[in-house]
Amino acid sequence: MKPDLCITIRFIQPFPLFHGRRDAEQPEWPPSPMRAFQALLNAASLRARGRSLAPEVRQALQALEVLRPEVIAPRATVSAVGYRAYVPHNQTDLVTAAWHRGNLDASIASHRMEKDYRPLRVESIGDDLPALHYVYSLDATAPDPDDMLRVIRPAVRAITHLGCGIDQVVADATLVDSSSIHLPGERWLPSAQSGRRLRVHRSGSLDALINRHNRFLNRLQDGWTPVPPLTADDMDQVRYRRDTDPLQRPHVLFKLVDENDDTVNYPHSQLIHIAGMVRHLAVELMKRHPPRDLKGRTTEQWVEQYVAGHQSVDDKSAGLPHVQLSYVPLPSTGHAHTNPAIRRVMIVAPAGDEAWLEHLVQRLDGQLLKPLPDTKLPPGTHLQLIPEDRKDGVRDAYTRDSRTWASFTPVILPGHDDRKPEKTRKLIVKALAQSGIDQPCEFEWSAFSHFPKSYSAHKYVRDESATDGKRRIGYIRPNHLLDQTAVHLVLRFGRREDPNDPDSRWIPAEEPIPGPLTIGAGRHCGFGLMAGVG
Amino acid sequence: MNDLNKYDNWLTSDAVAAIVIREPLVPVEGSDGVFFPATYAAAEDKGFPGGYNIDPPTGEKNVCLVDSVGSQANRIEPLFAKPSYAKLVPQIVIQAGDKSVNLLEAGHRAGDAIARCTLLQKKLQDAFKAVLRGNALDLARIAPTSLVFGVWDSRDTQAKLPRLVASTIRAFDVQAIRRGAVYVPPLNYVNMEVFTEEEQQKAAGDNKNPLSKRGFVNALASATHGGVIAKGGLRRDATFSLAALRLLSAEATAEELKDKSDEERKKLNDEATLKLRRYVLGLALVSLTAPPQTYLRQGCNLVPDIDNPRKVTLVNADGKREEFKLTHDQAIAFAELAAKEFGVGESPKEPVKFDPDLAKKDIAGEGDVAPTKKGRAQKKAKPAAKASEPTEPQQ
Repeated sequence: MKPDLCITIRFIQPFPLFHGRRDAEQPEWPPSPMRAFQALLNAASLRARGRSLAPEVRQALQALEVLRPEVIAPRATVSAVGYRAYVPHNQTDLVTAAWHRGNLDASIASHRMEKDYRPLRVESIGDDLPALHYVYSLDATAPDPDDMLRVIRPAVRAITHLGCGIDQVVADATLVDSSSIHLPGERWLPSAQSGRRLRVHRSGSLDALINRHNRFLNRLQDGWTPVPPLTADDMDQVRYRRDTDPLQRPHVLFKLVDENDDTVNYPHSQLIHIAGMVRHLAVELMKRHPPRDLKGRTTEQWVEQYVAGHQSVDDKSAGLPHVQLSYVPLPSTGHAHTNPAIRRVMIVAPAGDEAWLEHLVQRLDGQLLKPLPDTKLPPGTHLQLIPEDRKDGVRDAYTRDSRTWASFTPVILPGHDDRKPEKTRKLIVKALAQSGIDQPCEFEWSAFSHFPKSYSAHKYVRDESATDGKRRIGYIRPNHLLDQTAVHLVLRFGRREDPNDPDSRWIPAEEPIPGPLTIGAGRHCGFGLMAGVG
Repeated sequence: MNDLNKYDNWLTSDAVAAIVIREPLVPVEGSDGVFFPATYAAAEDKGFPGGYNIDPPTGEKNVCLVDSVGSQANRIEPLFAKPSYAKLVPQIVIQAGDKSVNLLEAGHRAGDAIARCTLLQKKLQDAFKAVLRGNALDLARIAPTSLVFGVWDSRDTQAKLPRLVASTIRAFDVQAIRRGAVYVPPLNYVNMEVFTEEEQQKAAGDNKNPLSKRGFVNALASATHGGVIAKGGLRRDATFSLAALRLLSAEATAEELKDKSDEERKKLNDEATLKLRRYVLGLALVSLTAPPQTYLRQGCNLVPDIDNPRKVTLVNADGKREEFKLTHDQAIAFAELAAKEFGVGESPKEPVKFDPDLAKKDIAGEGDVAPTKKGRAQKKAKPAAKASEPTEPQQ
């Protein structure tokens, strides 16, 4: 196993700040691998003194550009306030010409532009310089690690800035044994589904950067030709998350389509029908095509417990934790007037079960749904996989990162509250714990949802014309959950400055929580489905 | 090792990366005195309403920006126009009408547009083109401080050099103070029938009213900026990037390289590079160690804290740090030796005159520089005008 290449960049200002911005002028932290790669290329090019890069340097950079490094960074917080400074335009010729004409009142102060600053404050411990580490695994690369280090190190040591010109740094490159890395700081790792989007180099980034720089140098050759920024073809946008951040549960999304490939709309009050049909399909398919590794269980046990969601009596009595797939029909949401019918269904797996989910998804894609005895579907209704990289507003509403979440479908609590608020509170706390939500948060509950198109948590409404004086309303529940209290929830992740004082300052969670979140006893069949609202 | 080559390992090996200075300061009034930091305009996102930059704005543990990097650079660079330092760099003064500007005071240094409309334009353009080819020798002969504080020839060649020296002053754990004031006019102008009582009442509290503007009525200023008290002290942080200095290189002249073998050429170029780096190192050390300007603005007189002397630290590329002793006098002595060896560029005997014809050509895109968009449009328009002129009949 080859050692890893570690590029370490240290901020040398005694009061370290970072001014780098990502898209939309938002502060960027950790500094993206693409930014570090650009600084490295800049240093290598300056060392080349106006000539092309030496072949071995070019080869080393090409080997790096296809890798996705792990980033280890100190903590950093965005300054609470920004400020605006004014910088003179480079137009002193106009001012000087005015002086020459005898207008001595002309001043460069009237030729200026505003620059807004809102830097990140980088935390340092004691007198140590805060350090960023970009760790590249060289296992899959052709060059010998020692050769790579010999070639790349002089260029790394020539890096002088990262971010703005005032963010001065010193840099070094070393080879480290990946099994013994104990670098101080927060570990940021590429993540498939959640985390901050960072710009990352890819195959072709090196040439794209060199071409763009040449165009920049020549932008005044034939009039002024602006040079556009790098495009999506020149680099990747990769999600990075800290190893301590809450893990997003793996999930896949299917669209319901009929035989003409038109989208099927199913009433959202009957969402459990869709959940039931998809679960049935999954059970049938997995009985016939189970995955190879069932972690010591038989096919029957695995299908019954994990796919169908029936915990065995023995496990239950032994108090063993139960994990299973969730089949979550998604009411459409987004615009205020969006019809909340069910057009999509999401299958959510427990964290770490990506392989089993992938196995199931490959077999479910394109499968016909079999209507239940009391349901009706358009002919040929089947599941159509929505690729992960396809933009989908409804999926985003339920899976994006957010610090505030509100239930679209009612949360069915693990018991009845006997109309006692304190009991309701305890049941909500229990439901959150059962759903794996252990981050500090506050909640409010109500019979009505934050989303106006959602149904209330009530089961019945008074109806004098009915024989028993009431009529069923809202979402149809599974029979085994009919006797339990349901509420709509708003969850806010964060904490009070003084945990014992509910009126003390509210401190929002540092990192938003990724969806999908499903809470309560009906969480595996579409109840307690939360959407991000802040 | 003599006095001239004592820092050569910084210039040739990449082990040492930077020099960092932490210099505690105190207001002249004393450590608990009130002083006035810079004020800033409101940020675009309205997250900052304008005023002192105190982060976070509430609470005791905060940081206040007293003087920014750009402001500090503008204070340090003109040092080289002072008589005791002037011999270290060329003194180029540009004259336009009755006004004259030293290039050391130009905001964009050698890349400033003020130099584009003088006879310096071609020399600077060639120097920047050489920088793009990796030869900073010519630029060091004309405007060496551009190599110390960074430069971007944004209006022509796009050559860009990073800042070597950066300095900032901050105050820690500050308490902001508000103040109020009232202005009472020396005479009662209503009694003297200059204006009516009604007009006086209308003007009261309205800063835009002509009577208020000209001081005829009472004026009240309340809750305006009253300075700050720094409970956690004041500090100037200055850094000098040796890694950036090592990116500078020079080539020997064509005459020196004539009829030389490749090996000899490399040796001559290496020697020229070392001389250039020593010269720029000298200037950077002088800038870094120069006593900070004490008067920053009205109410902001800061001096070094003699009970808490500054610390100079060498930072290695691997992050290791070691304390280092360097006085300003030592820096000047080294800079003078290095400047003598390098050969400081010539200072014109007379101020360089602003040339309006060059300015016109530049604006029209006809100068020996890259044309502007406007200039290109005018160029395109000219042939059409010529075509409409009467031409000689063909024989």
